[in-house]
Amino acid sequence: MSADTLRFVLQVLAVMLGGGTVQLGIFLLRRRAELRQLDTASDVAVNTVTDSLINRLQEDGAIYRERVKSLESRIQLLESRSDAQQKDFAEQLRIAHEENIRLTTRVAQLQTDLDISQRQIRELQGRA
Amino acid sequence: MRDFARAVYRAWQDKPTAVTLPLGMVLIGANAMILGDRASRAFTDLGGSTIIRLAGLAMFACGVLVASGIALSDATYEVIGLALGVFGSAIYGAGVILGLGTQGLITGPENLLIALAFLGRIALLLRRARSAAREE
Repeated sequence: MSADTLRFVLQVLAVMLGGGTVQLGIFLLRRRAELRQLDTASDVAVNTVTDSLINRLQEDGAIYRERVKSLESRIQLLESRSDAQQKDFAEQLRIAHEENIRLTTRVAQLQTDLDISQRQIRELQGRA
Repeated sequence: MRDFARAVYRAWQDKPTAVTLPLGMVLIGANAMILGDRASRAFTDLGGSTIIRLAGLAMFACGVLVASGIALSDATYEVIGLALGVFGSAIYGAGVILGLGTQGLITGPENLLIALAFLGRIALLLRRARSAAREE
């Protein structure tokens, strides 16, 4: 290939690369807010590996916190349910107890009435 | 000026590879702009005096911008300078390969590798900027 052809190829390459560089430059200019804060005089190793590790750990932590929260709410639910059941049971026990007292009193009354009636009967039998 | 010299010295101590090449391109680019195609046999053969001057300008601007980035502690300048360095090195390397054929197969790819390295450093700086921004 002659020198002219090669020069032409080079010129085409230059135009293409120039366009790409301009695009790259615009892309970088968009990011200047972030870039401005970097320390350029030293290579402070803002370690990107540990950064992603930290992100992952934070996400895991959030997931675990969610789980703990849901477990706690379930425990609360179960506790409140058992509380309600206990209260219910105590209530029923009290009612049964009162019923028991009432019945015992009634039985005592009936027993007294029965004794009185029996004594009356014996009296009447003795007089007759 | 003294602060600039001190900043450059600190940069040379902390990241010599990243600093030497772009800053050195100030001289190389100036050389290319002044001498044109007499600075490189490949470009003499091709007759590409404009193109080598363009590459020289890009290299010169690369060096100046990277130096500004170090002086002003603003990575935007460094990154744009590196982008120009990509352009300049890539064009020069392509020209060496096209102009010298097999005899350009050491210096040509070497310059293309420089362009590639600069691209990698641009990506690195962008990544660092993003993670530094996210830490806040």
